[in-house]
Amino acid sequence: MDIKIRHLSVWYAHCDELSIEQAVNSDETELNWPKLAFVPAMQRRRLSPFAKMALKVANDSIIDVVQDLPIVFSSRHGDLPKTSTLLADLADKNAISPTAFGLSVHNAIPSLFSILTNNKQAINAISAGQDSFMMALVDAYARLKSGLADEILFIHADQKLPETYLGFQDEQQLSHAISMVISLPDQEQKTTNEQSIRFSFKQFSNAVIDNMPLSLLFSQWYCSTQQQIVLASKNYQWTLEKNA
Amino acid sequence: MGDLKVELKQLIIETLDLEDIEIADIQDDEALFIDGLGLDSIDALELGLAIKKNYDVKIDANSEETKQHFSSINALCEFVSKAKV
Repeated sequence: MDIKIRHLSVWYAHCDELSIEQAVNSDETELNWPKLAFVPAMQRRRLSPFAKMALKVANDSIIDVVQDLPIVFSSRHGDLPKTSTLLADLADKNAISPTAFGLSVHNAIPSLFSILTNNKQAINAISAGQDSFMMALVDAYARLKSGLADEILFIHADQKLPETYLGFQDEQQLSHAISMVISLPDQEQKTTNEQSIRFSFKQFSNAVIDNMPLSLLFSQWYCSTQQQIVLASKNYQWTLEKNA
Repeated sequence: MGDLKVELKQLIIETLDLEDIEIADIQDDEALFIDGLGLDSIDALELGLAIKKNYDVKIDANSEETKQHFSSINALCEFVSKAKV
């Protein structure tokens, strides 16, 4: 599978001062979440930290994109801090917040973005365990290859697991969001902001425990000078290569 | 009554995360929804829930009267103080 990526935008907790390796598993209690000046105040007030980081990178990625793009959104856990609060309220037989409930579905974030940017294109929202990010890339590729779209806005976000769920963690934790514009490779001259890559995957039973999420490993690799990388989840092995 | 009005304004600001708005910015007779403060239907649900919780009053979700009760701080104050007893 060959795709061209441009405008990769990454945000993670403490990205102002720390590298991804340094920031992973760090304390996120006193965090400054993105400010989102482009969102009107009356709408901004309802945005959770999860929504803020995802909308920030998405907005950065479409900075000079003129037409409305279909969106592929990927997240392993969605807005889990919000979901777990809703679940706790239900368990305690409390009434649940209509605002939180209304924004708790998996496609809420790309839908908010489509409202904010007046974008009426199709949206896919994907969750596929440890492979969420990479499987969403496969989905984006399928949509491009089948001619459903010429370009796709890809958004991925995952937040550090809430305290209650940390006991189940099977990868390292760092709140992060990644966005990019994806198309099929063409013959045109590459600009500095873009890169074509080839990727493939095979089923594979791995005993990996506590890796970094594939999304973070991907963005580290993408921004490095390294040509090739092999990423592993519990069920798949992914081979990625940059094209010259 | 005066205290309850301040209390309700504080409740609205906190419940609905109105970051840039202070108690003094909300007028007693100003419309809360659409015009005036500019709240919307999700705010109505959220505020209804908060008032139920805080004052233990019952709110009929679909009645014309309820619309009236939520029209301004004055109306809301009257509704809550009557319903509480």
